[in-house]
Amino acid sequence: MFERRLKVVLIVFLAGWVIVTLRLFQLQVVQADFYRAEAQRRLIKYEKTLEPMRGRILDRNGRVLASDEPKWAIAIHYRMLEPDDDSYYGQLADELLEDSKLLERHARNLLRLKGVTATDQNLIDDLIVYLRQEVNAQWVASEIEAFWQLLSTRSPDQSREDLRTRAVDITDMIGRWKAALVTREALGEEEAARPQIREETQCHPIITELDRQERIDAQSRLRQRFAWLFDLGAVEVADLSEREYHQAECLAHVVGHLREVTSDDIAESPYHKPDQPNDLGGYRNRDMKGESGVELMREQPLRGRRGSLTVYRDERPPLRIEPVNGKDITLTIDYAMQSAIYELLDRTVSKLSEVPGGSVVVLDIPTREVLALVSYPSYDPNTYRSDYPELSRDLRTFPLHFRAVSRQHEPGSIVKPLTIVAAHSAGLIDEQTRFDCQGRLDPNMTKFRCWVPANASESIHHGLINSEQAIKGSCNVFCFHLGDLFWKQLGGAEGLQRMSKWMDRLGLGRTTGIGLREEKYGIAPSPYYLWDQKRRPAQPSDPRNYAIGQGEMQVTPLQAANLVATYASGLHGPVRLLKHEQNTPPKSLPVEDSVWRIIRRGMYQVVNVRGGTATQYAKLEQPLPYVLCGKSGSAQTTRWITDYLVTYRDGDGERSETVPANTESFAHDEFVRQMMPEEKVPRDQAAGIRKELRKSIIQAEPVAYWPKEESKDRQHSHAWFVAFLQPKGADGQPDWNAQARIAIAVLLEFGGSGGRSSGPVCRDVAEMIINDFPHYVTAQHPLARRDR
Amino acid sequence: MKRPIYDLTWPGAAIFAASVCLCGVGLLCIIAVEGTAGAAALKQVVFVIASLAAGVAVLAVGYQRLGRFAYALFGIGLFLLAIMVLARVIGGLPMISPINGTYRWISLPGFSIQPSEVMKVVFIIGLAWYLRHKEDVRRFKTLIGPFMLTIIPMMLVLLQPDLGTALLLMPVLFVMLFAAGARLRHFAMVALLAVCCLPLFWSRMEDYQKERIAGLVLQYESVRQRVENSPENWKWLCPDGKSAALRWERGAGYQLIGSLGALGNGGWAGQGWRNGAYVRHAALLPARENDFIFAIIGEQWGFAGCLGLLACYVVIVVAGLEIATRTDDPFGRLLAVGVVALLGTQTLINVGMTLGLTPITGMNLPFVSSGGSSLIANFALIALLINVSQDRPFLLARKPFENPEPNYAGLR
Repeated sequence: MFERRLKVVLIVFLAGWVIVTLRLFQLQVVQADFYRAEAQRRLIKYEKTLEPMRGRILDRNGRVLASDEPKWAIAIHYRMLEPDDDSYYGQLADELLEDSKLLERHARNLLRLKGVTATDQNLIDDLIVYLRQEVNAQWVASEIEAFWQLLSTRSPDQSREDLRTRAVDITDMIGRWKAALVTREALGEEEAARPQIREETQCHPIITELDRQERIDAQSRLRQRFAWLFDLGAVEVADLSEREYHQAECLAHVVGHLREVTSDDIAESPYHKPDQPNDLGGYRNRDMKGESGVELMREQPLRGRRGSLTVYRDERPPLRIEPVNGKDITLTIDYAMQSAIYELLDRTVSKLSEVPGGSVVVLDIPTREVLALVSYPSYDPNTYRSDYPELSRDLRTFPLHFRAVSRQHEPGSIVKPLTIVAAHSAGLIDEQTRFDCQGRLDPNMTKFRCWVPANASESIHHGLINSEQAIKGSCNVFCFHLGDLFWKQLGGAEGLQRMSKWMDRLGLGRTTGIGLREEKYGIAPSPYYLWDQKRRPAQPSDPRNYAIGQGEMQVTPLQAANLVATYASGLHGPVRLLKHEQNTPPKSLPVEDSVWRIIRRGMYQVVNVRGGTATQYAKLEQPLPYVLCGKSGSAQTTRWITDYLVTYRDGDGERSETVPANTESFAHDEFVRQMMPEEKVPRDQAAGIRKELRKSIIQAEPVAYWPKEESKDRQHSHAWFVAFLQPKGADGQPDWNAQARIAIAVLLEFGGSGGRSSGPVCRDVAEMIINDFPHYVTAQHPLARRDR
Repeated sequence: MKRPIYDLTWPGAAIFAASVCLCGVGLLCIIAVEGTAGAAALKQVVFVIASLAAGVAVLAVGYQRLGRFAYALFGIGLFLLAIMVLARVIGGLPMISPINGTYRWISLPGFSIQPSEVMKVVFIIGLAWYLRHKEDVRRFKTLIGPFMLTIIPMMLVLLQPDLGTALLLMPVLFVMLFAAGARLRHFAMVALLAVCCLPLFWSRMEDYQKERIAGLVLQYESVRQRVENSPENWKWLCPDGKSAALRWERGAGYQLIGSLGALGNGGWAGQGWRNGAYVRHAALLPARENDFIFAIIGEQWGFAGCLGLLACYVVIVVAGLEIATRTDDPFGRLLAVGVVALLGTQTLINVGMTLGLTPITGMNLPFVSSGGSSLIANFALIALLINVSQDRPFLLARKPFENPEPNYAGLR
């Protein structure tokens, strides 16, 4: 039929058809499912996330300490931020043309702006016809430029250039996130598919921090002119929120603050469910999460879960998943008491020249609720970010340290009652047991002396005393004997283990159960601890030292407060910071009531009976229906290093520089930071410069200390004072059958030995509580609220 | 010796039926895209009627009479193209304004003309007329003439710029030369020459044109990744390598992703007339009533529908070649081969670009895509085919093309 050459032509064409058919078969039959899902995905016009409000943090009386305040922002789609993305403009034009209702609305808006009341339908129709011809990518581009102009006239300080640089910043940042993601995934797989990261389909805030009125203004003006941009999801008014801390500095450590999440947080987040297409629970870039305090401790209930709004291109109604706001957290702290104590500490510390800071803890004894958890000095959490460089370099007062739970010092004499309780309960001594104190444990030894009063050269001689008197006089020698009994009668290291067991029973060397991540364990040394950490076996001197709270022992102010609450009640339990959460009540210990009476009476005499160590400092001055029973303590310490002198090579010569640092490695870091050039250096070069600087360091030695002056005997000490409030009976003597309700622990760093500096603080706190917060000390309902 | 106009002969009738079917499918698609049978559909109906009228006019005139004016027509075509080029050089003339930066349309009141469509018709007539008696087509020297006839309009079309139409002329020339009996050796030499010229040609191309051709490989994720990792190695292929790869999904690849998505979404049987995500939403697939109409045919009627559509084109090609075989008039035969080559190639390129097999050039699907000029041109072309088939066998004429030894059909 065909001639030869025409046959060849036919065959060539048919071959083309066969190839086309095969490819069609592959697309439409083999891969049909994939493309069907793809079509569903592309039917989504835009997705918007709905941000939840982070839960509030309240004090026990419902006062708001931290809350999310609504803030609005004008947010712009990622692709509109990218300069000259013509394909996006074309896409917007197509979407506008497709939606005739939207086009009509735009026409009406234009007429209204021109001052024409749009009653004449013909006029509108004409304009729509005109728009239909006009709308294309170039038109969209010019409209968007007009939008930027309108946006930049919103306030005088935002020029078009500013907005442009901000847009570039945002796109750069997203580019970096994407690069990081690609690298991360490429590490796992050989040929990782490049993800389109979520931020590329989202709007990003360009003008932030609008308040309610500004938001209404901006929105009405922009919407009037550019309603279609809003409706196509290119521009939105985003509901954001900002964390605000309403208290002053006094609660900064307890409440904590937030920080921006890192890529590690996003990857490791426990709420992250990567198999879900729209993961609402996980962290996203620019999210804030708790960094410290209760914000960190209760991160999960506080943060809530975000929602989403999905708008489809077809007739389906928008799918809205409501955000779940975070739960409110109520603390057991009384804000009024906390701030009053903070101010008291502020006044006290400013009078004492050597004291860099301190801490006061007030506990409700029956429930172990924390009423005040004060660390001084503190910082303003609202300006934390900007203040951070200065705060972190303050090596004298350490304002960022949560002293109440994270500073651990030697307890000193405040554990002497514990030693006595342990010795009684272990059967080593009874009420009649007396020891003779002649100033030294062994007259031939210079070590193991009783304490030395101020302005005296020789230590005190207590004479023949029993347990109660030992507490009253804070006798070291009595306690040395008890330590010896533990060592000798209970089998050496085994005895030390028994002693350590008693420390553990009263809450030393472990967390108090408050839950704060900043909390330190303290140290309750056992033979295992000594072997594990100090690489030495237990020695006979260890129980002696621990009996008076020295050596390796360390406690935090919160542990000290819980300890004194145990002295006062005979019960031990975990400390609570959060109301409305399950907690185990304090439990009794295997100790006779009579033993508790001995130490309570001893502590009463410390403060209230002539000859007690703290009568001059801590006795309540006003006639009140309560007595303060307390125990002072001093933690021996060395001076803190505040500055290092760094010697380094500069050219041929050697030069030196003083930098603030408390350790040598920190001094090196700080030196490098200070010597970096002022102007910005590209990242790759900066690393090289740092390396060079580090190599140039010859040595670093401490040159400045705190306190500046060294004391005569080269001994410095932190001052402890722990106390509880015991109701008075009718006869003016303490009523030992009544339940004590308030336990107080005070620590003043470098406050000197004994109760000289911390005693008065404790007394003032106690008087203030009795006068201003009587409902906490009265024996009525344990948690009675003050009537307002 | 002519048959009457209404006697189409069977191959002619088959071609006519197929092309009307294709027009019908195109009309359905335009209605589906518009949503209702509105202005666009009405316009297309008017174009179909105008095209049929043009076809009847061609039949009435007769291809042999047209052939006598072949060079004059060719000259008119060149003149129109030259005006477009002029408009581009001086930046616009009355009635000629740039659309997306190209000068392709002459706007007249009510409709517009695309000179390159006119050129397609007159090019085939002119080339067929030139080659009709060239017995020495087997000598290389005589191939220069037809090449010049192709190169000049090609260059003018390229300057509009319109890469797709320009590239379309070359295959038509080759098929016609091949049918006319040119030696394969010469083809090989020409092919070699073309390969040598390719780098020169490539370097003269605009970046966006390069990007379209690069799209053939850039559509694969692994290639994009490689380009992104070492853009300098791929500079010859896509000049702004890294950003082209990064922005592929929203830039050059957007249409391709849309068309593959539409076809895939159709599946076996399709989503049905006027149904489907891509049919209903312009933002997902731009130009879907025009260059990418095959994609929404695939979405609406699925694999089965696509096969049916392709079958219509197969009918046109097979019947067209049958007409070429039957006729004894060398001019008619060359004309028929040229028309088949043009329609067949254009179809394959258009369907191929929808499938990601050929570069995305602005080329529409004959008879189906909306647009007046191309529809009228295509109907004029098939009218020429039918007209050729209406010629009665001229028994005494020497069988054309059967070179070198003369072969007298009547004596056989």
